[in-house]
Amino acid sequence: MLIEFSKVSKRYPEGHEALRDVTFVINKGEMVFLTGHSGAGKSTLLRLVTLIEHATSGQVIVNGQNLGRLKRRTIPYFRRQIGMVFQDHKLLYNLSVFDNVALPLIVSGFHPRDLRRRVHAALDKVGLLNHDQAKPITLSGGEQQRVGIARAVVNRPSLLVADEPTGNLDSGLSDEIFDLFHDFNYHGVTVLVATHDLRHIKRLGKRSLTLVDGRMTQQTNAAQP
Amino acid sequence: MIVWLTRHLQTLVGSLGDLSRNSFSSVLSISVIGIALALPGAMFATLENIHKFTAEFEHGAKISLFLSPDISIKQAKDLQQSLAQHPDIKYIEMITPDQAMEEFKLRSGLKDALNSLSDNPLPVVLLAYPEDRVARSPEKLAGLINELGKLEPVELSQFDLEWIKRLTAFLELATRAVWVIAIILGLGVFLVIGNTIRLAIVNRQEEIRIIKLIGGTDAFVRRSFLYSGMLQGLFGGLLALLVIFLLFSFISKPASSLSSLYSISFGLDPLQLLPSLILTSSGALLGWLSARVTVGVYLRQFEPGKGRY
Repeated sequence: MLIEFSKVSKRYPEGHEALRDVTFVINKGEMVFLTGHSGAGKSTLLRLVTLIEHATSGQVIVNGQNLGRLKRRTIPYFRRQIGMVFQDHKLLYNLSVFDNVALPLIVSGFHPRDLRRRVHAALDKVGLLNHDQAKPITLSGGEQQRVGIARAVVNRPSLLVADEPTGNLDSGLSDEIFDLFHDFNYHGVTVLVATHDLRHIKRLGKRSLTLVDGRMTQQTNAAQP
Repeated sequence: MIVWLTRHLQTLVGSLGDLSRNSFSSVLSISVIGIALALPGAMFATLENIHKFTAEFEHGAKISLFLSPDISIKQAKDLQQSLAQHPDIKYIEMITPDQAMEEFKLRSGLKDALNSLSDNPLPVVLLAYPEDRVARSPEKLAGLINELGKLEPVELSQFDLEWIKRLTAFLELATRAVWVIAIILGLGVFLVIGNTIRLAIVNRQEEIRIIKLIGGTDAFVRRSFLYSGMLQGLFGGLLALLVIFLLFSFISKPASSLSSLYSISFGLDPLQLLPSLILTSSGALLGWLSARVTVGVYLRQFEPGKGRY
């Protein structure tokens, strides 16, 4: 298994209890949706997986590593195994599309010789190869999100985590984005996507986890589409 | 190794790019650093020049030994020979009463009055030129003057350039004062660079958070700030050199006409190569250190989990 939560709770310092006693398992190579109304704790759960936050109690294991025991200085190396996609893209607007996608490789000390090839492959995958010198601000919302996805996969992570990746996109563009995730999953990447758009769950026929007020209420099995 | 080097080069070029992008604020802070470094730099250069100036005098520093009137020229010659062996004395010269009288007549304009004197009342004078190391140290010089004054045939031992002693003592004090000023201004440079780095960190907090999210280490984030601090210090140091150079070329003309009044050849030197290197590299070092401290203090505030993420 790739992600394992056992009795995980998260209470923020200001007292808000975002997750209560959450237990679930995601196996290697799975694609899983995380649903729930806004404020149910979807984002918090993803933040625990990516070590942006630490669990208050319980145990989180990702890729065989107990996150509660990870030393602070090893967190960057842990994060390099995970591709992250955000609702607001989190691109750097002073850099070109190419540089944005290259950033994870530069950060991890990737050999410059192979960098261009890898970045172009990732951009090709999301259909933006001919926009590589553009500034992100000149692209549409859907295109910016695809840049974000290219950046998330350029490192060839074993886990892809996305938080409401289509929150600001219309349904046609959303379909394209989810199809991309589906395709990565088909090629062996474990995918965990938080969304409130139940349409995609039906369409792609994947397992889903549902949070209500910080509790996991429902774990449906994959229904074949 | 190549990867490491490329990464550092990338960061260096990136920092240069950042400096040129934020050209106004970086020009401003580099100017402040430049002026702050130029001030002690120019003071040190001035002191160095005054040292050189006084060295010209010290070269000709001499102690006059007025011998008792009853000492004959023969006895004076013996004394001259024995004093020439003294380790603190470079060489010794004798002025006979006749020579002294001739010079006196020439200089005083009292030729006729002096001619009417029946015999020469002037004593034999020995001029002792001390070694340079003695001339440079007021204590040793005083010791030598005292020692020579106690000799049997010497009636009066007198140092002609008493003011040099005072000047040397003053220079000692001035050097200390310049050091204090240099340290205070160095601290100022440290704070100025620290402040620009702090602003840069705040301006780039979004970027810092994103870099940390995609697996950038603290060292990676730190690097570009360290380079930008170092570059600011370096450029500030170079600007300081330029300022000192301009300052000295501005005052070199009056300075050389002043020294020609003292009939010594003396050209005003701006900083030499080594002090110039020290000035620029201490600027760069200050910048690096300041950035290191600032980044250490502020970087942890921009963890992805903190603030609005």
